[in-house]
Amino acid sequence: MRNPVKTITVAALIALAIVGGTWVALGPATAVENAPRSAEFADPAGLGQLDGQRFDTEMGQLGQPPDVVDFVQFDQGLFLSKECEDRCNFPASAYFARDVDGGTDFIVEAYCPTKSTTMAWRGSIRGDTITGTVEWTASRFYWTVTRTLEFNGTRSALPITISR
Amino acid sequence: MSDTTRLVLRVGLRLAVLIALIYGALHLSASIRQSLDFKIMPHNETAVHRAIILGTLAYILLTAIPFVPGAEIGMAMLTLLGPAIAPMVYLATILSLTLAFTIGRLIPPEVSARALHRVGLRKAGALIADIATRPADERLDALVSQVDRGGVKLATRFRYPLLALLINMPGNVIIGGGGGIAMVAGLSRVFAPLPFLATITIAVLPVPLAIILMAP
Repeated sequence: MRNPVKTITVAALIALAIVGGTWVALGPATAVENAPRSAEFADPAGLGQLDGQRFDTEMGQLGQPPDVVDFVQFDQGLFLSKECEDRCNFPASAYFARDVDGGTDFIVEAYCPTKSTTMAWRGSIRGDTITGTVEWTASRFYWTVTRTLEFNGTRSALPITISR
Repeated sequence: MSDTTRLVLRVGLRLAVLIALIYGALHLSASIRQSLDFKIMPHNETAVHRAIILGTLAYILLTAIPFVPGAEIGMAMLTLLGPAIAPMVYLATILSLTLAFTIGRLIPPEVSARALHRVGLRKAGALIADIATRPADERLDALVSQVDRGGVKLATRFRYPLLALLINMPGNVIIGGGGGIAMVAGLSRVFAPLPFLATITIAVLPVPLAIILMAP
């Protein structure tokens, strides 16, 4: 006759492994749509040459019509896309900018720790317009998905809202 | 033409038809995927991730239940998400069959013997009840010695390759499906856990491997 305690223990461990594995695989509760921004993951504040600028933008997959309305802003050496902050919980991230003929180019790599997702922004500001691409990469334990998005927009007179 | 040549040609032709069928099915699923125009984007990635995890959980649990066709969930995931999800479906299939096997091992032999007896399979019930009383290393010999038919004896001797064949056999749902076969393997106690795991690891590999290698 089998030991019922052993059988129950093994069955309970299997059930625990299934429930626990699913819970871990689903990810943290903060990685949800419209999650609040988490300041603890933001890069340290500083100074940047694009500080104080805000652009109303639209974004979509490269070569496709844009389907997301957004605004991006630069302040305290940090860059923030409102849509990515709201939807994906991306924190404000340090930007690198350099003057080029006719305007300014910038690069930002925003990393979302709660979802292990990166957005590498490469943009150009020419006068009152902003254009560029975003390489979005989502890494899950079973695959890595990469999409190239493009964005464009115009300068906005609305106030900057990056707060820490 | 000699018999051997004819046999080789027949097997070769069947293999070619099978490969053509798999290739056609993969192209069909790629066309379906294209027509659905489903893309994983930043705004839907979290929802897709959760659907994949919960779908995989359902796939593991349903496939492990005898007579419940769960393989369709795996096929649906492969059709919608493409070859990139094939390794995940492969691992989930192994997990599911291992789960069914483990459950089979956990069910006391007396319980399965009583259940067989209750549904009228008295001889099989008595066989299991008898085998359960013997030490593990004597069970296989006891089983073989109590079976009269040569074919069954042969099947018992080559039980691991037969298990692999049964798991891959189309229409195996009428004998319990992958989960049912794995559970009976566990119940029988003539399959050791590690060789069982090695067998199913190889047995369930062809479909995901074909999808990865042949997908358009």
